[in-house]
Amino acid sequence: MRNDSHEATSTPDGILRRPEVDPDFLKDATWDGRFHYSYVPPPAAELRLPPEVRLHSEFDLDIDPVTYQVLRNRFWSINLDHSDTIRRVSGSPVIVYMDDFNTALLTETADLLMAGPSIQWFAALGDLPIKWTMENRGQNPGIGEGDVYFHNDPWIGCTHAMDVGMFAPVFHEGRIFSWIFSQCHVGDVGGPFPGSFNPLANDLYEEPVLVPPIKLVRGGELQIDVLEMHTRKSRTPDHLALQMRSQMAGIHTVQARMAEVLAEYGAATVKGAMRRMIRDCSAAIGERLMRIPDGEWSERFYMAGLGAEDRAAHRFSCRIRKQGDQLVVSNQGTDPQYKAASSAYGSWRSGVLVAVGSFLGWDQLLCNAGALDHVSFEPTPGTLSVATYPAATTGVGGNTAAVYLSAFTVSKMLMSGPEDLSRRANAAGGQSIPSFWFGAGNDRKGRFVVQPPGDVVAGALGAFPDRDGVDIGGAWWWPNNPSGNTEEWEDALPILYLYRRERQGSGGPGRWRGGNSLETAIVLHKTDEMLVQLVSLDNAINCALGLGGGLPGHTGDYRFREAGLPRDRLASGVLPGTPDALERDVGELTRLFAKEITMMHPGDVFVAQYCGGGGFGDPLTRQPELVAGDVSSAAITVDDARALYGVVVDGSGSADLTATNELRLRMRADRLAAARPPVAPDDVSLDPERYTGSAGGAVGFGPASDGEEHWGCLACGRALAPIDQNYKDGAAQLERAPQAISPRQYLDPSEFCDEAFVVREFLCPGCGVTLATELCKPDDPPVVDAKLAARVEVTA
Amino acid sequence: MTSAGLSVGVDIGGTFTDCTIMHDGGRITTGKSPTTPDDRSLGFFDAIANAATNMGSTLESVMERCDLLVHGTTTGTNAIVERRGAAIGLLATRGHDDAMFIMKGQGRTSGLSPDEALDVHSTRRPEPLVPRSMVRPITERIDVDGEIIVPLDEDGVRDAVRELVAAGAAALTISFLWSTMNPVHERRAMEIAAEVAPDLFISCGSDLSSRSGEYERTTTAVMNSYIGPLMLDYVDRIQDGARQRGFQGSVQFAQCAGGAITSAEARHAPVRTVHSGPVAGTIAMARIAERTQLRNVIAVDMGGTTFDVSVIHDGRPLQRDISIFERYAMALPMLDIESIGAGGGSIAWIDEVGRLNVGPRSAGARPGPACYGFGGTDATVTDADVVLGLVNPDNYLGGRMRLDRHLAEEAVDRLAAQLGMSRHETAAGIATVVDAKMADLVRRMSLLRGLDPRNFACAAFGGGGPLHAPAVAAQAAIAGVLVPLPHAASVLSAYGAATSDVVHVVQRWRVMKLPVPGATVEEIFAALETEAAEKFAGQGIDTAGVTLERSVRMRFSMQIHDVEVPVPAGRLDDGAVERIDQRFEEVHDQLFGRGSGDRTGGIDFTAFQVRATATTGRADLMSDERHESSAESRAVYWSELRDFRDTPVYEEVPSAAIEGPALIELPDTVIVVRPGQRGEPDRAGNYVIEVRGGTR
Repeated sequence: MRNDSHEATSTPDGILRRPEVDPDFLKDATWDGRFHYSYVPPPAAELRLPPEVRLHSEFDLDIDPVTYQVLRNRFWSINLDHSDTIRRVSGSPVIVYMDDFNTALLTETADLLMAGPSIQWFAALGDLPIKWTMENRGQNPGIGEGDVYFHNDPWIGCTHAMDVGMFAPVFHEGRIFSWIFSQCHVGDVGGPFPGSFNPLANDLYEEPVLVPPIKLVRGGELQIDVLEMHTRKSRTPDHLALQMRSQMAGIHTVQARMAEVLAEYGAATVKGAMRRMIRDCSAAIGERLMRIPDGEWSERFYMAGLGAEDRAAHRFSCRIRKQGDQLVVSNQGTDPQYKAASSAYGSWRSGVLVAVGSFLGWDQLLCNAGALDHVSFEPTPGTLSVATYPAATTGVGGNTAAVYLSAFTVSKMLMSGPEDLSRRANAAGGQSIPSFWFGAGNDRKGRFVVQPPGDVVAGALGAFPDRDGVDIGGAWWWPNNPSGNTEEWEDALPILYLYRRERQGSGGPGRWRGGNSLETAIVLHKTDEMLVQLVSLDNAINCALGLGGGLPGHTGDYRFREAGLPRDRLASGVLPGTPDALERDVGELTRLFAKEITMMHPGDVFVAQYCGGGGFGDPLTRQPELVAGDVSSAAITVDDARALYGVVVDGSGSADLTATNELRLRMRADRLAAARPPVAPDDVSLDPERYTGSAGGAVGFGPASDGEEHWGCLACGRALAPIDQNYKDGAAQLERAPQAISPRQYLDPSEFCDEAFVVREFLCPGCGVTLATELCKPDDPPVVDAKLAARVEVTA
Repeated sequence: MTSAGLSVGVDIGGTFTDCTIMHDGGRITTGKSPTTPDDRSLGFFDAIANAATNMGSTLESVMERCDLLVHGTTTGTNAIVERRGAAIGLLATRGHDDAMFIMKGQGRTSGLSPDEALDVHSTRRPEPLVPRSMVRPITERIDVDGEIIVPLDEDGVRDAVRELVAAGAAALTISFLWSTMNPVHERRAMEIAAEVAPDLFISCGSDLSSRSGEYERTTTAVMNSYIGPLMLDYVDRIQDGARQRGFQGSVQFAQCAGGAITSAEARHAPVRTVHSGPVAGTIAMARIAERTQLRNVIAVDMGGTTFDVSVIHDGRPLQRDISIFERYAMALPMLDIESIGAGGGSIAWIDEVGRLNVGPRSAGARPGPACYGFGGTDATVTDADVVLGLVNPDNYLGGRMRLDRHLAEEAVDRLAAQLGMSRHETAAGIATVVDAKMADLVRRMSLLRGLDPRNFACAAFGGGGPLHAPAVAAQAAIAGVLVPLPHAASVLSAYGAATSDVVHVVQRWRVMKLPVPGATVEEIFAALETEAAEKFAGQGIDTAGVTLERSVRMRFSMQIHDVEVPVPAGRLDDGAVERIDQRFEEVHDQLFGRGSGDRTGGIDFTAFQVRATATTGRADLMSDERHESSAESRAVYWSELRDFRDTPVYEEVPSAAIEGPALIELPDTVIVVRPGQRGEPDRAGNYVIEVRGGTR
């Protein structure tokens, strides 16, 4: 289907001309990144450049297809060389083994041409500090050949103080031809706690010092005073210095390779390829957006455990409005900024852009500028996702929330589109939730180390509308996603792993199963003590949600047992290699609060479980053979098969189809009987043969007996609601405590949160199939998944 | 090492086994014979016998006079690619038995091109090489320093091996954490396993890789076990067969990083022979390129079953330390070679929606293409080439094999009827489809690596290379095709094997903070050089002609990675160590920019390395003979003309330039100069085809 009521708006020449925020939205404040409000850049065509900043802007779009392909891929390989150089010079295991960084190439006006395959929302921040620097530093101290700048200021555009954004121009013929950018997470830049996260911080004055863009290298000469101004604050100054040198080395590599490319193909052709990449990416995304009906999609979720002793739940909201090929994204409804979990505008914007870029521009080599051509923002300041100065930001809550919420909402939008787009919708993945920990202490050689192990990023991909998620599948926004080897982390931290394994049954149940996640157990090794700090959120409430009626993945958890396994017990041959064996050998473990800071001693056992991916669709509709296959490959247990999927697996490992049918019918009837009836039953009738579109999963729409378009159940045809209303109003609602669904899969929210939470399942009142699920407070109104413009012009 | 005796190289492909014999100080004679899949050693000796006949000798005489017999093979590669390896069991440290499934978290995108990896919806982990049901956790634990933390549960090993054998394991991998620091548990478990199941092929992680990182090490050992039983049998048959036929020495095996290893090493570490056939071809091509002063070459090798592509950039074949093979990462240095199932034997078929497809399934040597007359009825690429008139059925393999044109036509006609196309359109369609697939791989190896194919020559070898590369090159935007040594081109991998350098790289990983006394470093290098000499002695190679290159790996102490720094020959004293230290900083600055390092934490040596190379006799590459050749002609169907054209057919390489269309029918291959192309030999004896439309 095609929506022809709007003109295509994609850039014809790769130059972006639209403001990213409607000026009306900004009129009451100065969004310049210098005081309260974040920097909101003008479109590339309207950068306010001082005369000293001279750009090399000539380009020729008329390039033969081979040259274009060579250059596209050459840029990709140059960007990979950039990353490799950083890894090779760096001394930081999180960089070398875990890729906690990314690199990017940008045009002369800092349009983000290409991100590397590491953390995408790191790279997607790159245009902000560069544009800011051209506008604000172009005259004094100026931008010259051989200069390198760095910063760590979220109000200009970075994640938090521990991420060093570094950038440098590529000069050609005395003018700025393009830009090089990297952002690396570093171990420690000071502040009250090792590792620089401060869960107790009320504002940024209790966090590491921020540095707005400052010249680090002047005409090829390192300014040692500037370097030491930054490293002086760190507990590991030498490592920080080496880390920053690795970024400088990366810039050197790219400059050399860009010079080769320019010599080989000429500036107009090289720039022409860059502009064409942006144009092509914009055109591809625009074309796909045009094929989705206009409408509005939204999502809401909560975080708890945002600060020490925080027992409240905080709401994050996202709404995407689509008209033609343009999206307007709003964070309205998000709760006020709170402690260190807040993030600034740049992080929110970056999360939105990578979601739009990846889900609609998957074949465009992560060209963010092409995505930006189709997105504008409506930021509500003072909130968790668009915080104002001086909010504390080390906790990264808002960043990951932005990535998660944007992708989830974009997925809902895709589900309203044609099949080739809707199948790309993706339930939340394990890494949607910011949940990690790090250790700080002396290693076995007496060196002070502070860092997380790579386990924290092993992740799990959520399920899709037509296939399962991926076990230990990382994150969609982190294609490389290395979590490293056990041996690498045992060398980097003073720990010994008892086990590091896939957690059985941790993927969210659904017609398509979410990916299973990782679980590890460690003891301290060859040191006296190590500080373990959780940088997490209350797992019970923050889990990866399912889509289309699928259930969330395992919530993840952190557990601890003091003196559980002294070394002499290991020496005697006790080696618990599974969660069950651990519980048997050391006894029950205690849950830790999301912001726990614990001193770990020899013999103490620390268990980290990470979130599984969300499921897609009603688990009672999963093919019984697939469920039996999951049991035989040990992805789930026999008990999970029965309790969550309604599948009876017999002694030979096959699904007993008769018993399964009976069980499933009974489960459907039981849950429908237990559910609240629809708020607003829809009395019209719908012809299942005449559905003209879908909201994904089991929800479709088509002309009803009243002549209007209505939502309805695709499984049985029952009408749910008029097309411009929430289909959930016509669904029965079943609310259960999460742990009542599966105590092994879901935790009890009341342990660390004072607000009640339920899993709410929306059921078709006709057949009982699950249409959607929410994890919410009992008095929350239903989320409006999709509201389509009434009477959209669609043809099957 | 120069030799008055013969050097023999043999390359076993999926369809043909090729041989070259180097004799009389650099002359080469070639031979070819069908591969014998049931017992590949039969084809091995048939090919040598064929070459012996061609040089006017006999197999026995050649074997007696031979002092270097080097073998390259894709047998192991094919077994892995086709998932035909042994059922294997895996013993892993308890609690870490999921390492092969976790794949360092990278399984979803490992080995994919950027466009594939970024298309989230289509990404998934590869099928496991060992199913979970064949993995057994073993209670044991060694730590980062090699200290035993939990003793080995020997009974547990015994039980696990019994269970795995009962479950059908034909090979076993033992891979424990930190076995590189202390292999005692792996060794003991191996002894126990050998007691329990004496016939089991066993690989240990620490025997195959000295790198830390359990995932890559375990994969290497798993791949090794997977092809172990197959390769063991195979190596033995060849070694025994050679001995029975009078060969006095030890058969050498080409290996994936270039150079050759002994049969004992190949038995122990068959994974090192993966890709060794194509690698030998690439190495030979690199040498020819050097002589021809070509810096950038895309080497394409088309045999009966696979099409292999490698890249020589700036004079050096691309290489990797960690190789991704079939989407699993292995701790094994390898030349960067990619293969697809496309060759003369590739079968053409029609899918459910009526599209014409070619490969990856191959008719192999038996039954082979329909025109072989061995009972095959599927139309293959070779059948299409016969129908088109590109291949002369009466002069295949220099007339040693007669092809049946009629059978080829029948096979093509069956597809033509389904497609509703003419016989010749269908045959041209088969060729076009397979050429397009090959061009895709060439693009992947060039464009996707950011290399401009227009700055590369396409070197075409293997039996089908000179036949198809001119069409492939045109599609992949390559301006020129080079057929290296036309008379040896169809057997270039065998030629590469026969002229392999024998290389031993001996290393010692030891972290030492500078300053280190010169005497200590000298002592380490001396020990390494003795070790290398012993290896050569074991192969019966005179060490007098061996060249030794010393190097160290160094880093700024706070770094994780290191860089290689060459160490000049000569006795090392304290001053020499200081000079190495300076050199390190120069190397680092050169690689990463001035001031990129930081001496604050000091400087480390991390490893010491000696690369010992014995150079075998070299063929005189300029000796390829040229002839004044007159042409006959026959009707050939050219897809670009959509018609037949009476085409001159040369029986030898004409020294004058010729305009296409034309065919040069050599004993083992046909060089095709397509319409609009132009061919001419270069001064080094290679044949060069100018491809229209390929220039920038």
